[in-house]
Amino acid sequence: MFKTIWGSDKAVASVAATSKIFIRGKQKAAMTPSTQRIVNQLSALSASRKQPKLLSLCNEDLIKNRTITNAWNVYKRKLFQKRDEQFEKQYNSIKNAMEDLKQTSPELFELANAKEQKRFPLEMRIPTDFPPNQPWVYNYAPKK
Amino acid sequence: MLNRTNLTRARSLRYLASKRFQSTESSSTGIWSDFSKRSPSLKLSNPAIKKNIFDKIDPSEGPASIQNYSRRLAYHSINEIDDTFKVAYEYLQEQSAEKYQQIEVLEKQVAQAQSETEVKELKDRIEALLVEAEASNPEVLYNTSYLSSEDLDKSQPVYRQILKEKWEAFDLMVTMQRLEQLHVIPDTLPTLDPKVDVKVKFPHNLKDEFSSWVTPGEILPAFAVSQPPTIRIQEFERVDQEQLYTVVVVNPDTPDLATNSFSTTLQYGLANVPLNNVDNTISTSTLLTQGDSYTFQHYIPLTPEKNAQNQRACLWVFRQAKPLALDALAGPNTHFDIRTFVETNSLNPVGAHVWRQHFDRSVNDVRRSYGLEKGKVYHRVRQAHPVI
Amino acid sequence: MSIARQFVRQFSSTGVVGKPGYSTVEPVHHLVNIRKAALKPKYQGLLIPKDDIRSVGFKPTEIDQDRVAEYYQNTLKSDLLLHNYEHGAQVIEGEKKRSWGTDSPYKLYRNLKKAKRVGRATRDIHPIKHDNVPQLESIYIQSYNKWALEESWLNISTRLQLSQITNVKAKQIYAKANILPWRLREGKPCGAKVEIKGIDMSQFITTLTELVLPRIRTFKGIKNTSGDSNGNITFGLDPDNLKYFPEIESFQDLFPNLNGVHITFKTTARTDEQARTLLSALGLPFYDPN
Repeated sequence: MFKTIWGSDKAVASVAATSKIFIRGKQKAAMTPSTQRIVNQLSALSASRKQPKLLSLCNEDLIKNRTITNAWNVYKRKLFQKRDEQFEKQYNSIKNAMEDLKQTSPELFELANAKEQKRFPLEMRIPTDFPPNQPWVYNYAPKK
Repeated sequence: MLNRTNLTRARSLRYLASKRFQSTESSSTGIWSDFSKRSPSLKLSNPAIKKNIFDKIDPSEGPASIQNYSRRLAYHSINEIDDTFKVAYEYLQEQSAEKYQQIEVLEKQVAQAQSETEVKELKDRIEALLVEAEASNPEVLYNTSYLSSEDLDKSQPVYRQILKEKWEAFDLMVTMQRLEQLHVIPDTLPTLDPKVDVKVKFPHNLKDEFSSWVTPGEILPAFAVSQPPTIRIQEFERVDQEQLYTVVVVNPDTPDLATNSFSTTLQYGLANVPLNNVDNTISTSTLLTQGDSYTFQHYIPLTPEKNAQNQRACLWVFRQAKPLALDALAGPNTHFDIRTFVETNSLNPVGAHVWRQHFDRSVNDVRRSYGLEKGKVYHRVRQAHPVI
Repeated sequence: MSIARQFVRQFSSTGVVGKPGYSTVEPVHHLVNIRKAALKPKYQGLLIPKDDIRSVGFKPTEIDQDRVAEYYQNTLKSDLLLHNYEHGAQVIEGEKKRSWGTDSPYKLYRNLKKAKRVGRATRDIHPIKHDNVPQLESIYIQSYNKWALEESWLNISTRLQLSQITNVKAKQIYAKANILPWRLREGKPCGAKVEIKGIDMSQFITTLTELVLPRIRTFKGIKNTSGDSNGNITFGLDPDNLKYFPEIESFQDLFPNLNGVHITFKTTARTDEQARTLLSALGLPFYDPN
């Protein structure tokens, strides 16, 4: 135990307990819950500290990553090309079929080309990874 | 996020691989590991780095490209990157193999080709395919990304193509900016359509500051340019036979008191220099061994007089259409007309470089060593009216 | 002899003497495009393209399967191609701005005349082929908050609400005009807007059509009259309906005041009818208002 110049350490401890704890900065009143809510909302919106860290990869991993990206781009490009060709074929066959129809049966051609309001049925759903157990309603009839 | 990207790609690519590469057993059988026809310069020479790329980065050793030991050990690789890389490599290799098959067909056509133009056309197509076939090879990618351009084999079209892209992205722009700012064009020649990368250095200097490649437009002291420069002329197009080059250094800022203007002086002249894609440097050793057969004007460094303006040393590189007679080129080096010179010898300007000089303490020494007369000192003369 | 008109460079004169009193654009004698930013060392990091992993702006794309995009490519696109096919259809030219004539230089260089009938120019309508099948480009959502005009902090909740339902940070919108009865003053924040594309757009569509719209009892659909005659369809959601978004439903105490939103579907279709067909395929109902 050390003896301080102020007296015994017991006395020092008692002074420390009664004196005001120093807090840097201006004293602020506690926020009301509604203000706190707005502050929380603002901090959820603000961009600070939300930027992810830039990955520092070694040269080998950068090369691997670039190779993967290159392969992926080539793969995608080929996929898109194939898809576009497919649609072009479809368009050409629609056109040829219509041309045929125009020659063979003008009445049917008129019907096929009649302008109407086209709407897809509301029951048509975007497919999911986990479809229901009974995927298809075979005896489906639209509501009247 | 990146891990998820890799996972998604890995899933798709793996599916692809299962459908398309059932016949390929391992990566060692692919076209990129076959060096019977391909140049060994397309290999990654560092075995440790190659192992890191193609096998796996051993966590107990870390990646070989990181020098610092503790950083190497602390390194974490990305999840799934190795498996994804394998699939991607196989896929790209397959694409490359298709390109090589097309090249084989074209090579057969070259053998049967009749005219020169047809051969050139076919060779151009082969070169384009060779670039496509190797551009995504990870070993080539590594070499072009992390090796210096001196270490790359310029006989390979893929390396030339990538070097050209790098040149266009920086050095070319710097050169053209300085040529324009310092009015090298149109003071010497009207314009320049750059085709080659021209680099200049003065290797006799001991200080690194002066012995490295000169940035275009730099102001150099006279002692730093007292010996003939080393000139590197990098062609990016394929040079089938040897191409002859003419190189001149002119100073368009020589004071001409008689006309109250400036005249052009020829400081250095080389002609009939044979260069190609790989052997692309006019170095001191070239000049020592074959210098006499190329030189029509021996090198005289610029020695600006005191109080004269900055003087530009403009280096021009020309492609020659035919060999030139050196005796016919030799003549007085003062009042040199570079435009007539280019026209009479039917030269094609393909590259240029410039550095500047002004009077400094070493000029008198350089003058003495080249046996030149003592330099003038210009003064400002104040008059009521300017001398016009 | 005037000194100011000296263009020939002389040994005896300095550059200052020959300088004219106005700035000139120096001529360029070559064809190389010089990008000054690319030559600055401090910009080197910013020149890396955004899709490169070394770039500070790198953002991974394709991190998930895009259900809506796949559905469109695999199922809808061919259906829409067939639906929208018109045999022997020609390009319907839009109204364009018109020339004043060429018989005088004044007319030649005058700003073009307004388009006939419609005032502002309209685009050509090309027949639908394999390469221009209508497609959803983006969804534009905006919300107007009139209370924010007086207390601008009230706008924070509007912005957060849009960000919550779209996964994209919303931008603040400001009043453009001074309209006294509405207490509108130029420059005051009065709402939020957000444009979503790609995977966020797909996510929003599935949430909207599978979770939100089916739970709105009064919802009949989008009006068949909606549209800006350029292939963009808009409809609105009331503040009450907005709480069906699961991102808001779970934190209702955080959003005591909800704002209604306008949702605009931007499509590549050139007519509203084509756009409606496309949206109906994505699960959005339509009805005739009578």
